[in-house]
Amino acid sequence: MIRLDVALTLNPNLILSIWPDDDEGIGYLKDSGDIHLLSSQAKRILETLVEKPLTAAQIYEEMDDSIGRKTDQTFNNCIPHLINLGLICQST
Amino acid sequence: MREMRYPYDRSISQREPNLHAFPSALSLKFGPLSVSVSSNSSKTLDCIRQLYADYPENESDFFDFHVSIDSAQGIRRWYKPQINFSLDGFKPFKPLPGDQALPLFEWGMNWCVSNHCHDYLVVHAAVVEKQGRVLMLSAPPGAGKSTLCAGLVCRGWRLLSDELALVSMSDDGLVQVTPLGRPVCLKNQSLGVIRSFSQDSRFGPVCYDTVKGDVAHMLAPKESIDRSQELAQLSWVVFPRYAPQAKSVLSPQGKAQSLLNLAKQSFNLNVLGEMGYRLLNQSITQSDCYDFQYSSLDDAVKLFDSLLHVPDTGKN
Repeated sequence: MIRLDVALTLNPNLILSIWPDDDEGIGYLKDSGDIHLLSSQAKRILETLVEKPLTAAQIYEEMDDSIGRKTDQTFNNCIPHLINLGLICQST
Repeated sequence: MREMRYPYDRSISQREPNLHAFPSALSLKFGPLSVSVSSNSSKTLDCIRQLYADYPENESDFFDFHVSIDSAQGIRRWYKPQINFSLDGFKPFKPLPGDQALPLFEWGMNWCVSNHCHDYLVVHAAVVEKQGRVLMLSAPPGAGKSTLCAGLVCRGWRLLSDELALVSMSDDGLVQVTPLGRPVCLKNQSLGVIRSFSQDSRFGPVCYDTVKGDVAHMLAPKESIDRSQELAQLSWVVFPRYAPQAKSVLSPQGKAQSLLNLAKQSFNLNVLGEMGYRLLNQSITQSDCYDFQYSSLDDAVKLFDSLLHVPDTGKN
């Protein structure tokens, strides 16, 4: 379950592959060998977390208006999904 | 290619001192690999010899693979003859009908490479090169990859691989492909298509009613064999699909989706782990990626030849 007050970080075993001319990206987990195709929203969230750990609320603020209308859905679905996949972790 | 005496296993020779059981063996070298092929059938060796006539001999006593293509003994010598492929005595496949020795050898060699050559990322792809630029054609079986590869080779592209691409990282951090340059395996209608597409193409014997239909191998051009030590850096990754009556359409494909597609076609990504992923990632990053639908080989060749006039931007 996602905790809003806890900082989220990238899994240290994650290799994030992104290309400037592609909306989607790839997340590769070194420990399991899993390869995940990242939607544009998931890619944005992971790119944001590359800079520094953020809480879910802070990620929400970092998202610009271009996906503002979808932010609620991002917030509700995408971040928990990324946690379930093991791409991001909740600090304790 | 040279002939040599089969190095007898002492225990076998003591058990069965029949000096004619293994009449001879072939020494083959293609790309970085050397293979010793033995058989108890001189006819089988003759077929392989015909297919690999232009290949150099292995100058070392060391072989990467010792394989055997042996006719089954006992009642199977006369009743529905069968043939077995083995690597160092291990038989990875069930026997096939005796007249399918050549396809069995080629499929067996594919198995050897994809299961043992872990110095490379092994990708299920055909690879050709022209003017120093490398085109990788990756697709699941039946998509028309080998036919397209054969068509390009008949029009002057250098054959690096028909089935298995050996991918590695060069010293400058770019991905390169090591040529294998083995004969191109063609099936069913593709045989007639390539024969009419190029009168100069040379083929081994046709094997009928294999598990993949009628199969024959187009011999690799001499120039491709002679240049089999020349590695080349990847420029395009294309996912071809033959569609009857369709126009030839080359559609750009996103890098992320391309990486995922290429990962599905790699044999040993799970073995190589992070190194394999980095090879995949760099392959896609330095290449232009496309989906390609085609029905006409002429149109396809023209289209890929026209790509040569587009400046190479991926390696910057």
